[in-house]
Amino acid sequence: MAEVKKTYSKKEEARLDLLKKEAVAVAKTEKEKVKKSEDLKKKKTTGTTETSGSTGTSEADELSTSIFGESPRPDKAIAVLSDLIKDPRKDPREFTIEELRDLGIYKDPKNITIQEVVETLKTREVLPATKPVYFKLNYVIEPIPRPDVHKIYGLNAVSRKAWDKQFWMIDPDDGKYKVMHKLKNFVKQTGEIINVSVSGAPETRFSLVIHNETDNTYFDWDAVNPDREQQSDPGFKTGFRSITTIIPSNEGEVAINSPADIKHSPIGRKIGFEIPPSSTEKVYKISFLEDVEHTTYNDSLPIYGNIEKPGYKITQLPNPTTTIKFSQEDRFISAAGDLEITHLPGSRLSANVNTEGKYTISLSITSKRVLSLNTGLQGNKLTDSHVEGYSGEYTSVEIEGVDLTASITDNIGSVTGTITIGKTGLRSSEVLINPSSIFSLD
Amino acid sequence: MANYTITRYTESGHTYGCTNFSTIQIEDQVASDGAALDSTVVWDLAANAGFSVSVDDFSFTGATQINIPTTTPPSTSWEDLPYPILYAKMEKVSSALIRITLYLAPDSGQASFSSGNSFIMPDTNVDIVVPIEGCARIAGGSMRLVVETSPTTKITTRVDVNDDLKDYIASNTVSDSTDEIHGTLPPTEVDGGETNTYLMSYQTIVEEGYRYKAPPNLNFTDNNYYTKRRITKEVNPNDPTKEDIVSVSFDIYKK
Repeated sequence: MAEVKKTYSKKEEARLDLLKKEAVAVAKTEKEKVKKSEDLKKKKTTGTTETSGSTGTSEADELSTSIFGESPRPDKAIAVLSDLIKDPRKDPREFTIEELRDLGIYKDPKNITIQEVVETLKTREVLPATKPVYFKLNYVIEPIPRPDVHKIYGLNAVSRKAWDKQFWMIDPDDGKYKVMHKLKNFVKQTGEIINVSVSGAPETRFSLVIHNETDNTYFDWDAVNPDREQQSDPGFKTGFRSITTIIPSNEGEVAINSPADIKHSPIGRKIGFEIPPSSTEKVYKISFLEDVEHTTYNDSLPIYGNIEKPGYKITQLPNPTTTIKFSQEDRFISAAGDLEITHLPGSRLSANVNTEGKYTISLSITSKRVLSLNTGLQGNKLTDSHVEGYSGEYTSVEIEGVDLTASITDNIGSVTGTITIGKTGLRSSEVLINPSSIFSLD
Repeated sequence: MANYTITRYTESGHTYGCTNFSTIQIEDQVASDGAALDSTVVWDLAANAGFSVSVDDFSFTGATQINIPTTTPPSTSWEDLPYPILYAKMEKVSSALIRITLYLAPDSGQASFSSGNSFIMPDTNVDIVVPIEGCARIAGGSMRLVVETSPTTKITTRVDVNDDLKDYIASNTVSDSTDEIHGTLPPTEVDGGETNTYLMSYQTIVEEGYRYKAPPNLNFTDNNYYTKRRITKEVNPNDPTKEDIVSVSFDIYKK
């Protein structure tokens, strides 16, 4: 087999040399251990006498010229030679070139004596053929997971879900691919401080932008920077603003809390942002600013100005109303009694311990024609089928029960009694009573 | 019983006695190179089967070893031998054969052997007893190991032969993934006790940025060998409480 020269880098060589050094040390220790053990064994078998451990095969051999006559050591090459010289037909000088070559001697047969041949062969060591022993190295390697650098993993509100993520999807209404979201989380009309946490690789810089899309203002972070000499009121200001800070080296997460909590943080400028009170619905968006050197953001994170990665949407909802009234019909003239209930967005009114969602109404309606009660009314009582709540995505109202009676006095139709309302809409909604299902016109 | 035999090296033109160890000489013959009374008597000290001999293990009892520079092949030179031997030399012919030469006359070709008077055959028989002390060693077995692994650029392997055995065994890199180690182990003392021999280490290091998923194994079936595995770990860059296996060394021993 041909030899291949392996090449090693300096670093590899240094590592391999270190292993070699250890191997030598281990072998040395091993040898010393065995020697100690052997010495101990000898002491035990020979008592206190230190001996060299000589045996019958190592005694001094006294030799004289008159006592030796043993045959030479058997040797494969010599045995072959013996066969040749024992042949009476052959004189030692009659070796053929081939015979000498078989013995590995490349000389002219005429110029070599049997003694020289014997001498040559004696100097050779005959190595027995050795079968190889195979050692097979089995291993499995894998890359060492390396810590990320300059990487932002996530953006979360600390205390609760304050925003909804937006996605690109096909709008079922018009079949167009667009940015959509489902309104689940919102900020009340009273406003609130939203505390944000950003997770990422240690020492990663990042910038956050909070944009009030409704008013086109940005949260002014510098206004609440405790290091600033002149501070102004925090809040949303016109003109682009953002905050740039860094993930601490030992935490992997920045908690942007209230100014009081983080005022003395070595990182500085870590603060929650406040959504101010508003009586009208407003939309805010929170996103990262991509323009930070070296920093990469997780693909799912919102990037300011990148339409493919829309900002997380914060919706501020004013308290909606749920109005109970007759539905509009041309043949009827609504009189009076509409009940408007103001509540928190999406609240379950039946869960209110005081009202249990039960509201007393007294609605009246009239017409230029003569009213009469529908014959289908059992005991003038209305059922669920006469009352209908909105069913829109964010305006649906649950009607949990009705206890309403219809009557007519002086051609004025009345519906009185109670109606129990469960879950209300996120936005203002209505509960409608259909007058033509109760009253007939002659 | 000795584990070697000594025979006399016979030359043409000599008349030997009842054994080859005696020659018949005529009175007043002067020992001289190539003469009827040859100036040298040559013996072959041959190891018995399974043994080997080394000049360092043999000496002439009562003689003085002459301090000479190391020779190739290895040899030892002696003086102060029984009369009429002036000098003697033990020379390695092979690991199984030592050639012993007794000088009955000075040898001007060898500086250490150049003084003294040549032996002259007297009118009576001369019997010389030459005491030789020494012991053959158990011959080292020949070995051939092939260490293989799956070819990859992600790990680097190297065979480091025991420095003490570098004159006996050699490693040959057949390919990036195959090494062959072959040779004949040195002889061991008959009463040497410990027989386990540290042959070599097979080092394997993994490329930077990688680690061994589990400690690698060196599989073989020959019971004449055993290995010791040494694992080197480095602190995990992500979690300082954990360590990654980055290099492994197999020390290969022969029983």
